[in-house]
Amino acid sequence: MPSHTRPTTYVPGSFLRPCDVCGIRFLSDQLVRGADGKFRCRRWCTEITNLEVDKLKAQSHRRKESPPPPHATPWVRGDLAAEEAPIFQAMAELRVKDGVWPAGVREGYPPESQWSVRGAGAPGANGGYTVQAAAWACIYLGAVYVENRRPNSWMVSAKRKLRELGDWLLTRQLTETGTGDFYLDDHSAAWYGGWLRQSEMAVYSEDVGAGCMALTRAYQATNDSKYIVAAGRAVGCINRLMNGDKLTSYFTSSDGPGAVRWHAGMVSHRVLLDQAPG
Amino acid sequence: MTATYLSGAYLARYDHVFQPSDLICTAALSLYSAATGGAGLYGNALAVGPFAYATAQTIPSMISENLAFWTTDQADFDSGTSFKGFSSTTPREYFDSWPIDKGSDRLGAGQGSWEFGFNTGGGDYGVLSQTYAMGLWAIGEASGTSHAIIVDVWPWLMGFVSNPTNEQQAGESPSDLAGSGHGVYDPTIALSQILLVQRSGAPIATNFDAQYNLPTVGLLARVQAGANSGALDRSKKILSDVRPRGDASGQPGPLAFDEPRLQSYCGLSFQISDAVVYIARAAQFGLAYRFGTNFPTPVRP
Repeated sequence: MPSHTRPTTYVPGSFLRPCDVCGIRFLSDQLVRGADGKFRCRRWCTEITNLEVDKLKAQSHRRKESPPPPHATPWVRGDLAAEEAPIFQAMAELRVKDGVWPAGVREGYPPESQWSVRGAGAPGANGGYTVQAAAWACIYLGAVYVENRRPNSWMVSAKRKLRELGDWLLTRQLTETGTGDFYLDDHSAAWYGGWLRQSEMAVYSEDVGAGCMALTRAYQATNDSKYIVAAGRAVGCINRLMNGDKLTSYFTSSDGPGAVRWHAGMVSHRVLLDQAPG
Repeated sequence: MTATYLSGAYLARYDHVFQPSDLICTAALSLYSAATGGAGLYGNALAVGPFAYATAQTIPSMISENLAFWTTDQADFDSGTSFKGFSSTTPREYFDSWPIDKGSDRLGAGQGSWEFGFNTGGGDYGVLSQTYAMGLWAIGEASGTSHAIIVDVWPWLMGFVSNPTNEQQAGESPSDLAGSGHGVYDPTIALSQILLVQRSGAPIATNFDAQYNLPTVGLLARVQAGANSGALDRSKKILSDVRPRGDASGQPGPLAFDEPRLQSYCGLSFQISDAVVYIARAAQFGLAYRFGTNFPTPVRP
């Protein structure tokens, strides 16, 4: 039984026009003009794949309408930012097995720092989770989200991944909650609001800066205040990294071999957390 | 060790090294300020805990101080002069300030000097491109691309010439070339891993190694889009192509081709020998797609 696809309602100001991709006629307010000048229907073709276009065309003779124009072109690569897709998918969409992750599977590589694509055991993780991987993925995904010029499916994936990685960063941020020697309710502590590199027992400014940006991006995408509160803690940590010269003792730097303290104004590269007092 | 109370119950000692890539903190302050309005003080208004002085500052003040360090001449013990290390005329990788005795075997002594990041021992000195690209990116984020450091350093980076020792050698077969990384260095595509900036005491500007550092494309995209948008488009186009793997060791794998962008490094003829995706670096490359002209702006459904 052929289906009727012509709209039967009238909307003032609109007119009938075929979609340049599938050929089905829609009211003009249901069409979107792409950067290539083609009009696409919101219902089917704004994110349609080439395979789906072919199926639509193959079925067009069953409708009581003329087939789509022969010159109609599918969604072109540039329109879908296909060139960027491998990076976006790696960050937010590729399904990877991970026994450590709560569900055993996660979408997108990070927070794993490295991923082997060849060799024995590939594909698979080989670097361990790092703040750098999680934070930079958030910085990238946040930039995509805020830019707001990519397909809706990207926006959904980016937002989900930003929340996922933002939550993971929260669990690793050094605050009064959490377990370990450096989770203390001491807002003047050098490390408070930062992230610890366990193997080096140090907080690196590049981690604090990237983490702060990541949490701010997570806040911008989700509007969840917990992320911006955590980013504020990281700002406090940056403030202390800048003011190592104001310590009571062992201040950051001096202007000579003596003990005349000198204020650089720049953040220190890192702060070392030495062992607990014996 | 109990005699020294620095913070909380444990000791903490700040490093005395300052390097351009740590300007990411400045970019973070700028983004945080834009998201929240940036009002208020951060730090303590009183001397508390390990601090002998108040540390409270506004975010604009913190950003300003961060940037001022790099635009101010710093005294260099080795040369007996003062100069700026994040510059085209006297490029250095970091400043190692003069520390007092921090009583830690994990913090070495500095002399108050600008340092190179790479030293061959034979009179060649270099800096890591990642450090410079990160610093320029952060300055662009915090202060815009018209900042004096960007205006100075960017044209210098784009003026690097190809090092003949890293180009295809006479008699080098295509298969040898595929495994060597050799090729003609073009800084408008990406920066090389190590930038050779001094040879036998004289300035030089060429690529030390035969490897492109691809995250620098994304980190520098904002600057390049303003200075030479066509080159940025060309760079993205070249690096978006998948490439056959040039590693002769032949590790087995499901794919015949690899993605330079995801794997973050490639030879000067775009050879890929690394079998690893570096997540943070791939994300940095992804920033390149926020700029340029050859990718039509899609209408978001």
